Amino acid sequence: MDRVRELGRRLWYLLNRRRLEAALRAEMEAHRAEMPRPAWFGNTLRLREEASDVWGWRWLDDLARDARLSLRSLRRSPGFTVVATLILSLGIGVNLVFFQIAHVTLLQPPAVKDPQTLAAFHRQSRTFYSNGVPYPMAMFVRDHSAVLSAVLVSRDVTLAWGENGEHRVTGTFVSSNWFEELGAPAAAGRLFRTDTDANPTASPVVVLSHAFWQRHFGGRSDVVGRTIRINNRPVVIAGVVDRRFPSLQGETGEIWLPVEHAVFFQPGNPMLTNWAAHSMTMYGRLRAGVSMDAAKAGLQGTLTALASLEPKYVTAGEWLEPHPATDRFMDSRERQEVRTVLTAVSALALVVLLVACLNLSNLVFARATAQVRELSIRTALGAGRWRIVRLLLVESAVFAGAGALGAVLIAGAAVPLLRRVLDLPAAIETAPGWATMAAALAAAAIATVVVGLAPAWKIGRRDLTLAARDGGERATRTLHAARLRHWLIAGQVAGSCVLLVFAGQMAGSLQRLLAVDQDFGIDAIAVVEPSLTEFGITPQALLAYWDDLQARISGHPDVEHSALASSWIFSLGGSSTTYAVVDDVQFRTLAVGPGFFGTIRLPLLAGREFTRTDDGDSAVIISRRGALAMYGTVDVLGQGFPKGESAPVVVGIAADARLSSIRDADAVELYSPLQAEDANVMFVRVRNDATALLPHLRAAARTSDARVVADARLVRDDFDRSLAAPRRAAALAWATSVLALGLASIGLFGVVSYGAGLRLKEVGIRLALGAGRRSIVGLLVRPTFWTSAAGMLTGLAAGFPLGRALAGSPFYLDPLDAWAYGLATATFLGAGAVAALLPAWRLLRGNPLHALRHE
Amino acid sequence: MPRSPMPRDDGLPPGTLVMLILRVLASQPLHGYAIAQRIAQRSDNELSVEEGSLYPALQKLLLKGWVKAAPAVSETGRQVREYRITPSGRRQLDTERAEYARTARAIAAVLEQG
Repeated sequence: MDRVRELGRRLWYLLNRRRLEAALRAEMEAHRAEMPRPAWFGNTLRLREEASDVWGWRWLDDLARDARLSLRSLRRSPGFTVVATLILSLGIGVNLVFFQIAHVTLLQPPAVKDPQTLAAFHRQSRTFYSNGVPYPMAMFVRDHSAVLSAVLVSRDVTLAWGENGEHRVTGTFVSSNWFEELGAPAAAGRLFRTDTDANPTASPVVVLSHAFWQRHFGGRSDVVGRTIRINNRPVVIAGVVDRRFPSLQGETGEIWLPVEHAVFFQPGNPMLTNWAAHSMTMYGRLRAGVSMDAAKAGLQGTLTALASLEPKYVTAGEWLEPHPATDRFMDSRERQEVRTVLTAVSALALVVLLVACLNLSNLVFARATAQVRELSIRTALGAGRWRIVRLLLVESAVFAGAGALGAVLIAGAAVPLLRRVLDLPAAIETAPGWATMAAALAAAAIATVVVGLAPAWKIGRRDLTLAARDGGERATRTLHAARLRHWLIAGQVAGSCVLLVFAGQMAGSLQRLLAVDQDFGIDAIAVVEPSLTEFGITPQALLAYWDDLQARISGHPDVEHSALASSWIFSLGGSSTTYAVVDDVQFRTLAVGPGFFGTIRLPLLAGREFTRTDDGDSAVIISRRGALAMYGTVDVLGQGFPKGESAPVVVGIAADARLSSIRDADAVELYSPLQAEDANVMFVRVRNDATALLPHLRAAARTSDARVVADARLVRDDFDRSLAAPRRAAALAWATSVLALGLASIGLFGVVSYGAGLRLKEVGIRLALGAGRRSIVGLLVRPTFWTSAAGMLTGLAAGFPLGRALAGSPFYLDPLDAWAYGLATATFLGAGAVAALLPAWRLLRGNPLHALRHE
Repeated sequence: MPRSPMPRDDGLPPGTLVMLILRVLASQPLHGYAIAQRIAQRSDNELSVEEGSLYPALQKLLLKGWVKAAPAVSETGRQVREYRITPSGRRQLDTERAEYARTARAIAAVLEQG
């Protein structure tokens, strides 16, 4: 208690210092004047200082003095100050930008009302799993659950819009409570309301996304109330949702329609009554005080009741697994991936910060070395070693502060730019919050320590009093040659090289994905996706529809081949199966019709394509890798599948591909004969311009049945969509590594040019004595050459464990990617050579002999 | 040159300056010069408190909260601060006096044994 009061009095003294010191002074003057012999009174200034020291604020005065001193000396060398601040700003800025992106895209729950009581529910039993829920089941849960206060559903769907349905847009059917429950504000008009829009007989309305509104209606507010045509049906624009309204799970929908009106847009779509289709993503709002576990238990009761009502579709013992919004609705595998990404991203950002700090450290060191004379004079005047160290540390703190500030500015400018270039969610642009500021400060603190400590420690160790004798020249030289400098350079080079290798590996990973493109010529494949069941085509009519469409399309002179399949290709995931014979191999499955391999141009290494008479009980085609994994040989035509069974038999061996999971380089694939009711897409190989054929394909789909509004696009579009994330990641990796390389080059340049400056006289003498220019360059560059080489080798070597650690999902790096190492080596050698040779060349060009004459 | 923030005890038994100041202030509030004067008078000029010790000691008393200072005018019309003992200062004085008395008795006992 006494200590607290004492601290209070200390602070009070600090706040009233000027007045109190004046009072003390007056008091001492009075004392002195009253003494019989005033001369006996001691040195007033010193007495006053001694008295003030009791209050314990001496260190603050010293600090302020050091700060003033540093600021003054930094003002004297503005070039150094600007460069140093810039380096730190970049180093910390990269951390901030990465932190902000990671925070918004990976960590923070989506910006909706009360995310802590919101969860997505996946349907699960011991043998079964689906992230989709049938609409009637979701509605039953809504009506009978005691643990959920609201149930929300959504389903993405491709829609035609425009007077004649000429445009395609991804829309989302959502329950009419969607916007109310998620707390979305409207940018114009109104959003859905349960009281009016839930009624299927009310006139249907649409809500536009902010981006769609801007792009197609120029952001005009008079669009509210206007009628547009969606799937050739009139619908009134109710309003526009706010720009910041997030997608819950990365959906790309640009317009919203009430799911209760689905049949209006897709007549005959059985989705609202179909118990067998897992058509809805289901979300639940937990009642107050209900935990996730309690919700899971409570819903299990609801499903048990449902199982007795609908035994055909719901099995007893299944449950709805909650995936909380606070986990961004992710399952454990996705969370693991996110952790990998986060670790990798923070490690990269820290490497950049480290390189920046080492770089700055080097600069500060060089400067302090040059300051040896000044520092030695301070020492001679009575400054202790601690005082000198503190002076240098304070200087670093000044940089760190300026760097943190610069970093916040850089992040503020870079984040919106990156959002546009990389197409990141709008939520990223929210102003840097407290978390960001705290991150900046932490980074600045690290920077201060790293930057300030090494030079301070090194300089502090020198006996500066000795240096005063020869004007500091010898000490300066010794310091310049100090091993520490080499460590600093090696560290920077290693850091930037490991980043280069990483960027190279990322590029290699991306390149392997892009190679798929060359193999298949995907620009010449179109895909038609008519979503037949959504338009009321009955299962019995499916075969006839597809036959009719295929005949119609094949008639076009530009169409080379066409074939049906169960799903589009080059997606990120897809379904997979495992077999007891080789239970560690995941067979990625795709059902394909006759002519599929010819259409896609996936070579069959042996055997034949499926025919119309094949079915799942008679024939399968497996990929080469699948054959090797299961049978140990590719010579398996006619063998039963899986190994040991008699039927179906393997009728073909396909080349390895990644049709069903583009990112998995080691995918094992299993093709089964397609039944008409499983067909969802038709692939069309086109002779000339595939884009020009798309309208024809859409029209054909409509001609085959007037109810259908089909989507037709290039396989290239699906491919690009799947590749968007890896492309983004590779671009970020490159930008980061180039930044680090730039920093390391600046560092190298600085050291060599500084050394060149110190050796000006020596170079002049050597030249005068007849030394060749080549040997002079060698003299200047050699000290940094081995250091850089060692750093480079360390960085390259570090690339291997890094690549190994990230060899799996989602990066799929190749730790032995020769290109990555070659590229990193070449890039660094190029940049390093320029950085090192440039100052040497500059020195030789400006005649060093002049330097001698000045002596 | 190293500087000590603690009062130097010139001419005084170690650690007694604070006690002496508190004692003279216990009778009446005084300003700095007057404190030095009063201690000198009461000790028949045996003890002289130097300015170099007095003012740091006074700051320490302020810091500890044993005295409070208020602006005042000296007998010769100068701006000074008058120090007034606080209740916690009185308690401190009692403690230090007791402590001193005990030490003095102990020293005397040792000396008298011869």
